[in-house]
Amino acid sequence: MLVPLKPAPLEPEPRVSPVPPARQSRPAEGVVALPLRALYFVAALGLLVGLFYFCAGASGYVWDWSAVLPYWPKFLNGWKMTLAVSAAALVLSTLLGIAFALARRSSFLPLRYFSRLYVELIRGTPLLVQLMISFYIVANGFGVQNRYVVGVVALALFSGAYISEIIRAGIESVGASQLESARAIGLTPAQTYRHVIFPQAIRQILPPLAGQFALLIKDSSLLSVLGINEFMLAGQEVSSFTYAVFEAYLPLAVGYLILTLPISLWVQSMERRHRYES
Amino acid sequence: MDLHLQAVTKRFDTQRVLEGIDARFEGVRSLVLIGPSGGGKSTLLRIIAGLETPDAGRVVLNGEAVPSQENALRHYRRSIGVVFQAFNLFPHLSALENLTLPLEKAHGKPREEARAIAMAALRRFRLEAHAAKRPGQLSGGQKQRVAIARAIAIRPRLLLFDEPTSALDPEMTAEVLEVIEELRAEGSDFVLVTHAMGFARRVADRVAFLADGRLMENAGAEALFNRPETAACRDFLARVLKY
Repeated sequence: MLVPLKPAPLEPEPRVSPVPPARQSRPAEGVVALPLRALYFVAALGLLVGLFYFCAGASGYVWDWSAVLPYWPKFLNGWKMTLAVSAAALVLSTLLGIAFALARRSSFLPLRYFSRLYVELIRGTPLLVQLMISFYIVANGFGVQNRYVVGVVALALFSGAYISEIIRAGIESVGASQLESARAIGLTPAQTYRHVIFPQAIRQILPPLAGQFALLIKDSSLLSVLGINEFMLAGQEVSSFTYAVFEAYLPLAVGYLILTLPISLWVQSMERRHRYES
Repeated sequence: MDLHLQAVTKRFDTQRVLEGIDARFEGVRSLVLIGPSGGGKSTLLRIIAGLETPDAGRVVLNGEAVPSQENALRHYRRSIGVVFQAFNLFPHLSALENLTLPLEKAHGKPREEARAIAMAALRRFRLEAHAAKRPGQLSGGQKQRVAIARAIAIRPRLLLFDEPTSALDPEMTAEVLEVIEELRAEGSDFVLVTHAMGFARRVADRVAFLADGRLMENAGAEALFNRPETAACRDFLARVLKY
């Protein structure tokens, strides 16, 4: 049986508050008291460590740190090499990323095609293959013998393709009305990039860039195939010398975290600095 | 102003937006463009602003033809103040920085001088309390007043308003129209595109009616609103003044 619909009671028109309501529904971190936050953090960390120990214990693995301890200088040197190679590749890949992102937006068609081809080729092939081709074919062709230079350049070219796409997406997120405004006040194209596009694009660029930087550091482990004495190779060697597999690889995990965490935190702090309501 | 439109024609793809606009507005302080949407008002304003170049014909402002070559055009744009419907402020800059950016970068003023000029312009529109705020923290009316302050801070030879109140509620519309009226009283030259007929009538020295890419009529405000000559203009006014 159909019940006649009762008209909904008239509600007063909602008042539009001048301040938009907070977008997040979950409490902001800052609301929770600091000691409590620290406690929660330690609990979360403890849970993870406990889980790991349970698994390791269940496997019946016998820990023997004394076997790998004498090799600590090897770890340290490898870690330093990874730091150096990653830092160089990070700077170079950022420059390449900016250059190719701008080339992609160039009014000169061949430049646009070149940039596009570069990105598609790099993203469509494995880094390992690229490293081999770079070292055995391209570097040989140019007569470059230094494997460190080849490694850094190949890694930067690889990461640069992804960074250029991140930057391009950031640039394209800036609205057409902003570009029109910049034109209307008479800014040159270079001034428009410097004062209007980049300061706004950076908000979109930073979060994925942090991930890309962490990836670059981890991908530098593949340089071990070129015989570059970096951190991963150190771990592999120690593992094969001592047969203490986990004791050799666990320091790798910690060592890479020491490199990736600060970058992640640094980019997050930059993100906070560039925050504004749009 | 002495604004001379000479056979100004503009096409987008195959669509003709402006079909040979010919008119001369000499000794006119305030010119208001009215007409149905899509009639070519905004395009004509953008051509006068130097944001679009006509496919044929030219615009001569105060005896000087608007250039078509990009570098010269950029130079020309710096002498024109444009206020857009959607404010188009830079969201990452404070109100004050929105004013100092063109002064410093496009007009080469030293930082301190730019700040002083910008503060004076903000003060003029009672916005000094909001100087440090970003556009996201301002109301629509405040944003548009900041945009107007940005346009006048450069001491433009001509001000252009492209439907400056279309995105605002009535109260904020009044707030912005007051500012434009003030500018008129001070003798600034401007061209205004608007749908607010009452206001058009009040501030216009001259009103031009555009429809279908043609300038159908142009006359003094009283004459055009009281005795429209063309059927198109009569129909348009009858429609928009009905409510």
